[in-house]
Amino acid sequence: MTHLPRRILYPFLLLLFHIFFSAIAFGSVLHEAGEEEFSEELLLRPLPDQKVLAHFHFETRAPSSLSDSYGRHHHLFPKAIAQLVQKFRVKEMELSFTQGRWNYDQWGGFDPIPSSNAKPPGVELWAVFDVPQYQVDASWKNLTHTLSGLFCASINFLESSTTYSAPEWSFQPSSGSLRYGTLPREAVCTENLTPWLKLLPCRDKTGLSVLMHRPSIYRGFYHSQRLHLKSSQFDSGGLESGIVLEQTLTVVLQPNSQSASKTYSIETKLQPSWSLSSIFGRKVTGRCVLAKSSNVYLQLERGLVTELENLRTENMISWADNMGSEGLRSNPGFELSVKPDRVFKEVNSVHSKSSSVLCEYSIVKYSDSEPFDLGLTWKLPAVWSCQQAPLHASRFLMGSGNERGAIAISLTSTELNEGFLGANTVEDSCKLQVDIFQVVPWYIKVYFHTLQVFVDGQPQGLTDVVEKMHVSPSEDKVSPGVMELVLKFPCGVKSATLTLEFDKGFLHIDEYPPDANQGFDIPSAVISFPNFLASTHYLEENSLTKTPMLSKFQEKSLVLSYTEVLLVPLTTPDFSMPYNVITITCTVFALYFGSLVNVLRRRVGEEERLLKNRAARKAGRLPQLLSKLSAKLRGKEWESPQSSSASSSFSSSKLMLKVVIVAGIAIFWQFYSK
Amino acid sequence: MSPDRGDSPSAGPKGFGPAHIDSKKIVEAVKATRDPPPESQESIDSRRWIVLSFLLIVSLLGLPLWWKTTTVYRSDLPYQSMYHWDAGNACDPVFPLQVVLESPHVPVDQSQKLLNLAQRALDELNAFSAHHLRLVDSTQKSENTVLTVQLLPTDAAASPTAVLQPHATSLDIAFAPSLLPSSSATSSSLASFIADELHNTFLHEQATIAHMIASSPGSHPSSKPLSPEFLALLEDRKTRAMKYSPTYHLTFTLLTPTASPANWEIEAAVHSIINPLVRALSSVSTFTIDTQVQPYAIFSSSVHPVHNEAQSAWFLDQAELGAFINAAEWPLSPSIGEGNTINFLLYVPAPEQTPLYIVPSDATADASSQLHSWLLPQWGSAYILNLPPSALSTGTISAKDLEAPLLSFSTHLLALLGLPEEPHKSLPLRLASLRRTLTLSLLHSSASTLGALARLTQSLPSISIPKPAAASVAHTLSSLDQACAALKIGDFKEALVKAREADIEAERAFFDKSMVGQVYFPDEHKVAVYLPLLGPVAVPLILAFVKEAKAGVACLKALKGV
Repeated sequence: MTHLPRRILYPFLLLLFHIFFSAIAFGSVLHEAGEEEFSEELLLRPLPDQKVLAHFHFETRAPSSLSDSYGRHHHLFPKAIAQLVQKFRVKEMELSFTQGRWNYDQWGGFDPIPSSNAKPPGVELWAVFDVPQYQVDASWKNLTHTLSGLFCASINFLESSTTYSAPEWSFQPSSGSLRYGTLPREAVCTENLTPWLKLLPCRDKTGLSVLMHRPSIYRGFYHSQRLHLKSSQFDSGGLESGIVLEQTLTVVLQPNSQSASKTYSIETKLQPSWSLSSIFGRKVTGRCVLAKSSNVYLQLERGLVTELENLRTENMISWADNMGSEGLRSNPGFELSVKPDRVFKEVNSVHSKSSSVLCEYSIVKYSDSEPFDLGLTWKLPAVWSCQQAPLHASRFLMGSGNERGAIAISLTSTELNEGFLGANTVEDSCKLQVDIFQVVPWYIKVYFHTLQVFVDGQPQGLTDVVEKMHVSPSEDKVSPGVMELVLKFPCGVKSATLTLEFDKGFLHIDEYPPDANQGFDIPSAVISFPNFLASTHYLEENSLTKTPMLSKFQEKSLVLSYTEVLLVPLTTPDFSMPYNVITITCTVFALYFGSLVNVLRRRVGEEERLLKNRAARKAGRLPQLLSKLSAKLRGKEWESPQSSSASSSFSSSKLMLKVVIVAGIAIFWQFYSK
Repeated sequence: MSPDRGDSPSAGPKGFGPAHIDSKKIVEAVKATRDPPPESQESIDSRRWIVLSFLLIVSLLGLPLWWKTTTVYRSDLPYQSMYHWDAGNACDPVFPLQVVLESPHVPVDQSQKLLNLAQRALDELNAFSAHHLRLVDSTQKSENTVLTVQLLPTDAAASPTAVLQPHATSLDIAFAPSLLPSSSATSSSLASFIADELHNTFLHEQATIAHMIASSPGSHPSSKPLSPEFLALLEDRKTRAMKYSPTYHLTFTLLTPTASPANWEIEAAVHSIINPLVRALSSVSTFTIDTQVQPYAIFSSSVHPVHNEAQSAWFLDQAELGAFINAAEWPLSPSIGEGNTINFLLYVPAPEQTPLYIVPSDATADASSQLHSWLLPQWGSAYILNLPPSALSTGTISAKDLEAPLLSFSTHLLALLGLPEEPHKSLPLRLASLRRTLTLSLLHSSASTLGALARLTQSLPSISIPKPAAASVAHTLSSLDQACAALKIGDFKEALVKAREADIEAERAFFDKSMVGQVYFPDEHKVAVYLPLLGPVAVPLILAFVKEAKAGVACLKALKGV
C-alpha cells in the first residue's frame, strides 16, 4: 500500500475509517435503517472432565421486507430461508441435528448454553406458523419436505401424522399452531453441515467458520448443529420486525492430552492444555469481512473461578484483586497465550461469593500473516463442577418380555438445588415446579391411568403432586400419544420417579423399518423447570455495544433438559411371513376341502377299501399300457406281467402318477408364463 | 375306525371252527361274501348331485368372486378421441389474425375499397391457409384484434412508409392521399404496399407455425420447404427455451471470488430495466424476482482462466464454460414453490484477475467485441462484469455499472422464454406471437401426452387406471376442444388459457401415482400364490368329476345296450 499515491490513499483511508466507524459505533443506527446484519462469535469453555466446549454462534438479521411487488433483495440473509419464511409463514422455527448426548452431570445444565443448545440425539424440529388452524398441518408437511431438501436429511419422515405432535403448553406456550417432531435415529454428518454452512455469507471460507474442520468436529463427544429462526414480520406493529436467523454449532472436544499423564495426586489430574490449532487443527486467519462483529469468548465458570481463587490463596501468588485482563492472564491455574481485549464479570445477586468471567477477543486485527490462535496452558490441577439444573432427569425402561413394559422417569436432586432454593425458602410453601413433555409413538400403547409418582421413594397421590395434566392418547396409525404434566414437588425433594405402564403393539408388515430388529425409539422427554430462568448478566466495561452473544447470555431462557432416547424391542415378524401364511392357509383349506369332497363323494369306507383291494390285485393300468407300448416298439409280443410282481408294479404306478402330475404342472406353468 | 377283519383274512377263523376244514376255502368264501353290494340308484344320484353342486358353486360363485376381487381397477378411457388427438385429426389449428384498418381521415367508401384490395393482395401473398390475416374496418375492432393499421395521409411523403410502434400493436402507414384507389380501380399500389407490410410483419410467425404444424404427426407435408437457416433458428430457439410454466422465479445472483464488492444497487437497476419487461410479460406468466449476493464464490476446480500477456487480460476457454457454474458451492438451488427458476449470474472477477473474458470461438474476432456473457440453455444466463479498480474499491456496484449486465439478462430472459426474434421492433407483437406459438406447442404436447397415455395403458393390461386419471383425461379433452374452438374465432388469450389447462391435466393423468404400483407384481408371483390353493382344491374336484362322468357314460351305454 505504501507505493500508492497519496491522493488515492487518503480518501481510501477516510473511507475505511468511515466504514469502520459506521460498522462499530453506529451499528444500531444502521440496523434501524433496514440493513441486513451478520455477526459471528465463538465461545470456548473448559469443561471439568478435561474437555473443551466450543460454541459457534452466527446471527443474521434481515429487516422485514417491505412488500415490494417486484422482487425481494437479499444481501447477507440466505435467500432459501427468507423464501421459506415467506412461503410457509413461519413465525418461529428450530431445527437441530445432534450426535451424542449432552452430559448434564459434567457439562452443566443451568446456564444458557445447555438450556438452549443441548438437544436430543438425531433431528429435532419444531415450528410455529402464522396460518389458520386448519392449515397448520399442511404447512408443516410442506416445511418438512423443503427442509429435508435443504439439509440433505430425512426430515420428510416427520411429515406423517404419527411422527409429530402439537403440544399445548408444556413445550412452549402456543395457541395450537406449534408442531413438534423428532427423528432420534437420524445420522448426522458432514452432508448436513455443508448446506448449513452455505447459509452463512462467508460460508467456511473466512472468519470463525474456518475452524470447522470436519474431521476434528466430528471426532468430538457431542455435536449439535442448530438453526433457529424467528420472524416477526407477520406481527402488526412490532417494534423490531424482521427475521432473525441464528445458527449455532456446539461441539465438545477432547484436547490432545500430551502432558495429561503428569498427575499431581491420585484423583486430581492436570487438565490438558489446548489451543485453537490443537483442538480444531486450524487457526483463525481473519474475520468474515461482512460480519458486523466477530469475537471469540473464553468463559470461565463460577466453579472454576472459585477454584482459581482458592489456588491463589494457597499459592500466595500475586493476583490482582480485580480480575483485570492482566491478572487473568497470569493467574496461578493456567496461562493464556493471548491477552483478552475485554473482560466481563458476571453480575449476580444470588451467588455473591463467586461469579463467572468472560474474556472477549476481537479478531478484527488478525490476518493470514498473523493468525489468531488462543491457547490455554494449565499450570496447576483444578477441580470444579458445573452449574446443574435443579433436578437431574433420566429415563429408563422396566419390565421384560415382548408384551408389556413400563417407562420410568427419575428425577434426582443435584447439590446445587439446595443452595439455589435457599433464596426462595422464605415463602411458606416452597414448591419446585417441573414440566414434563413426553411423546410416545402409537405402537407403545401407554396406559395413562397407571401413572404413579414416587417422591423420595414413597408413593404419592397424584393429586398431591400433579398440578396440571394434559394427555392426548395415541390413535393407532394416526397420531402419537402426548403427555404434558406440571408437577409440584416440595423444595427439599431428594428424588422423584414417575412410572407409566405400556403394552407393545403390533405393526403392519409395511410399517417396519428396514432394521426392525434393532428396536424402536421413544423420543426424548423434555423436562423443564419454569421457576428457573438461565441467564447470565455480564457487567460490561463500556456498554456502548452489546454483541449478540452477550445479549444471548442475558436472555431469560427456560432451564430444560432432555432425557435419554429409549430403545424398545418390539416383536418382529418373520418378513417372509405373507407367503408362508398364504401357503399354510391354502394347505389347510385344501386338506379340509379335499377330505370333505371325498367323504361326500365316496361310498362307505369299508366298501371302498374292498374295491381298492381288488384293484390292487390287478396290475396298474398305466404301467401295463407303457409296457405294451414299449413291447410294440421293440417288436416283441407283449406278455402279461406275473402276478408276483403285482405289488411292485402298483407302487411304480403311484410313482409314475406323481411324475405325470409334476410334468403337468410344469407344462401348465410354461404355458401360463408365456 | 374300527379294526377290519378283511385286512387279515386268516385272523377270524383261527380261534374257532374245526381244524380239518381247509383254511383256504374259508378265505375264499369270506372274500366272496365281502364283495360290496351294488349301490342303490338313490345314493348314486345323490353322489352325482354332490359333485355337480361343488362344481357349480366353484364355477358360478367362486370363480367370478375371485375374478372380481383380483382384477385391477381400470376406468374407461376415451381411447378413440385420445388417439384422434394424438394423430392430429381432432383439430386443425387455425390462426385467423384480425387486423383493423383504421382510417379516420379517409372517406368510408375509399377505405372500404382499399381494404378489399389489400385483402385480395394479402390472400395472393399467403400460401399457408392455417395462418391468415383478415382485414376489417375500425367498426369491427374487438379485443381479438392483433394489429391496428393506422392510415395517416400526409402530403409530404412521395412513397408510402410504414412504422411499427414499439410499445403498441399498431402499424402506422403514412402515404400521399393521391395513392388512394378510385372506386373502379382493380389494383392499387397502396393496397399492395399495406399487404406487403402486413405479410412481412407476420412472415416469421407464419413460418414458425407452419413448421410446427408440419412437424406434428398427422399433417400433410408443408407446401413450402423452409430454409435450413430458419430451421436451425427454430431448433436453436427450442433448445434454449425453458419448459413453459405459469410462474417463473427470476433469481439474480452477484458472485465475487473475494469479499468485495458485496453490495450492488440492484433494486434500482431491476426497477428500471427488468420490471417494465416483466410487466409486459405478465400476460404470459407471472414472475417473482429475488436477488442475492454470494461473496467468496470460487470456481470449481476444473475452471482455470489463462492469462494473456499481449492483451493483458484473462481468458476463459469456451469449453470451460460448461463447468463455470459451481453448483456445489454457489447457492443456486431452485426457489421454493411451484414454477421454474431462471438464474442470472453476475460474476465480478477478483481485481488480480480483471479483466476476464471468454476466448472467442473464431480467432479473427477483434478484441473490442469481448465476450463476457453467455446463455445457459433452459437454465439461465451468466455475465462477467469487469470493473475498473476505482469502481471496485467502493465495494458497491453502482446502478450504472449494472445497466449493461441487466440489459444482457433481459435479452436472455426473452430468449429463455422462447420469445420469437421477429418482428424485431414491437415487443407487444412478439409477445402475441409467443402466445400463439405457445398455444400450438401446448396443444401438441398435451395431445401427444394423451396418445402416450393411451398406448401405455393398452400395452400394459395389468396397470390400473384410477378414477382421477380418467377425470383428468376428460378434462384435458374438453380443454383441448375449447382451445381449438377459441383458435377458430381468433381468441388467442382464451386459447392459451385452455391449452395450458389441457397440458397440466394431461401431465397429471400421465403421472398419476397410483398407476405405477401394480406394474411390479409379475405373473410368476401370482402363480406362486395361487398354486398351493388351487392345485389341491382342483385335483379332487376334477378327478371326481371325471370319475362320475365316466360312470355316467358307462351307465348310458349300458342303458342303450339294453
